[in-house]
Order: sequence, then structure tokens, then C-alpha cells
Amino acid sequence: MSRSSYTFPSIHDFPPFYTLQPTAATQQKQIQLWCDILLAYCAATRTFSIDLGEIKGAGAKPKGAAEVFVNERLRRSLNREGIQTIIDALVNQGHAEWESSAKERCIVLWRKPEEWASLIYKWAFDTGSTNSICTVYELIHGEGTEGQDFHDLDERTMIKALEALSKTGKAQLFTGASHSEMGVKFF
Amino acid sequence: MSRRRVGIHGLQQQARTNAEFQRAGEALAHQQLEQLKTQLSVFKTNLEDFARKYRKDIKRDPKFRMHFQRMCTNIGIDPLASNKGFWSELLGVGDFYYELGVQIAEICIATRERNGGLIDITDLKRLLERLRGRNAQEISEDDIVRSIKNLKPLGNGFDVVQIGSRKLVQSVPRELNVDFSTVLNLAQVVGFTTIREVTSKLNWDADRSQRVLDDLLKDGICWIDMQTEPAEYWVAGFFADS
Repeated sequence: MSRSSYTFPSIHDFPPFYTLQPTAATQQKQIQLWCDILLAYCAATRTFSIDLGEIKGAGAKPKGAAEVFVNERLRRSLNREGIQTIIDALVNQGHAEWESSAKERCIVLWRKPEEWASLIYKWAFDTGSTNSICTVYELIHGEGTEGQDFHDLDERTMIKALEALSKTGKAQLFTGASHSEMGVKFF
Repeated sequence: MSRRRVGIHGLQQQARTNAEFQRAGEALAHQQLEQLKTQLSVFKTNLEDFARKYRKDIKRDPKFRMHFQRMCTNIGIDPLASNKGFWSELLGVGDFYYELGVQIAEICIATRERNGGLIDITDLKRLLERLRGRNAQEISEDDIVRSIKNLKPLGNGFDVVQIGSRKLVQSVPRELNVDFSTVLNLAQVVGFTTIREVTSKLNWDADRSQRVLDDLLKDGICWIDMQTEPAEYWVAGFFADS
């Protein structure tokens, strides 16, 4: 999927959208609108993480999902505090996780681990892969999962999904030398 | 030619003449009224025939519907007055406007946090069309205004206000005070205003200008853009939503 497959809604061209609003009710709505945009963008472009270090200031277009917060045409960008507020809101909703307490990078879960988990389990069940062991690498990059939505999934997200399955007793994880070498058995 | 006679007889004669005139006048008035009644009933029958004949067009074509509505209003018939009765049964217009009213309320409430309960009618129309889907009856601004009038008895504060060249639908029960309207009127040209513009164009002192702008922010009508100098106060309802 190409980056251009996501079109920003018109509010993205509304100049005050880049200033955190002082009125509580308005700000709440503003944050939710930002969350919706970020999740939709990440889903459309299959982006799994954001690096806030990419944001250098108004006018300079950052790489990756951080570009969501910049509007070159308007010469407006949401500042660091604003972006952190948005991502904190996503974290509260279970749609993001900070990678460190420095709040520099975060994982975006436009599908929650449980949702990925049920997709993966359905695939395992449909292909008769239950009761046999496969590696995490195979699940993500193997021929067997080509065409599946979770093919080429971010590794950390995949692990979270498998952990969710293991919690409900539908899978067992076997540690390996690295994340990719981890094994999983579906029940 | 004889001279007008005076005395008792003369007075009696005059009284008789007056009475006769009055009778003749009454007869004439009665006749005219009868005629008018017949005309009106013929007209009403024709109008009903017309409505029956063009029922499809009235339902489908918003312009046609508006003209038909005006025609009805002119002769004192309101097809919207009741959901029962001939007109609504024939045309189903009562249902149409009530349905539209519910959809208007839905959109206004959904966008309220964003625009402070003030939405441009053209914007509202676009959102309505999207909500109603492609196969729904076409609607006009006139239909929207009529539906809102229909909502009024419910006392939920829906109203149409004119700000400059724009028609806005207000869904929060509040009196737009003169200061609010004046500033909105100023902002409707380009969509935003600044304290500088308010003080210079309206000749208000800085205190009054700032107070009104702050109130507009607090009410959620305006959003502030602080990445410019001076800060710009944008009226969310003037910005087309998609």
C-alpha cells in the first residue's frame, strides 16, 4: 500500500487544529480528531511506530507517521507537547504504547493485539496449523501467511498478539535466541 | 326636477332609502362572498388535483417543492401542520420534514463539540446528503429551514440565524448577543478575526474586544490559532467540514 492511499480530512487544513485549544470541551474533541487521523493514517500506510525525533519544526517535512502532525501548505505543525497529549490519549485507549519513559518513540496499535490475535488464530485454525510449532519469523514473513493482513506485521505487535493468545490458552510461546526465533504452538 | 322635500315625510323617505341601500349592499357582499367561496373551493380542488398529479415531482424536486409550499402558504394551507389529514396522507411531506428534522438534530449534536453548536447551512446540507445516502430524496436549504421551524415547538433551541451573507443553524439554546453577532459578522468574510481587527474595525477598546473573543472561545464557537501573530480566532462553523 502506498503512502498516498490516505487522504487527510478537511480539519487537517484548519489552522487552529495545530494549537491545543484552551477550552476543555473543544480540546477533548480536537484530541479525539487527531487520534482518529493518526490511527487511520497508520492503518492505511501500515505504519507501526512513530519517532517524534523526526519532527524538526514547522515547514520541514518529517519522515514516517510524524508527517501527520505537519501541514506544509499552512506552515503549521503540532508542537511536541501537543503530540504527546495525543499519544497519551491513544495509550489510554489501548491504541499506542510508549517505547520508553522519555516518550520519544511509540508503537501505534491501529489494531489492538487481541484483534490481531483473533485474525492469526483464525488463519492457524483454517490452515490446520494447530498443534504444530512454527516460528514467529515464519508467521510474519513466511509464504504460508502471504495475503493475510498480519503478513509483514511489526514484530513487537506480533509478539503482543501471540501473548494475548497465550493468555487465553489458545497458544503456547517458546523462547528463542531472538524474537524472530521464538516459536509458537496453536491449540 | 323637484326640490327636495323637507319635513317628516322627507326624513322617513330618507331612512327608507338608506335601509334599501344597506340591503342592496348586503346582498352584494353576500353574493361576492359566495363567489369567492366557490372560487376558493375550486382552487383548493385544483390544488389537490395538482398535488395528486405532481406528487412525484413534489417529493423528488426540492425547487418544485419549495414553490408548491409557497403556493399553499399563500392560500392558508399548511401541508406540514399535521401528520394526519389529507395533505400529509397524499404527499407524505409531514413525515419527510420530521425525518429531516431528526437528521438535522443528529448532525448538529454530533458536530456540537467542534463548532460550538453553530453550523453553516451549506455545510449542514452537505452532511445531511451524505447521511441520507445517494438514493434519498434531494433536499434544499428551504427544506432545512422548514424542518427547523418544525422542531421549534419541541423547545430544543434549534434556530436559523443570519450572519452577513451566511445562514447558520444554531443548535444550542442561546441568544447570540449583539457583540457576538457583530464579531461573527466580521469573521465571516475570511473565516477568522483577530483582536487587532476587532478593535480597529469596530472601534471597541481592547478590554471589550478581548472579552468577546474569550467568550467565543469558551462557548466553543471559535478555535484559536496561536502559531501566528496576532493570534487568529477561527469560527469553526465557517470552516467546511467533510
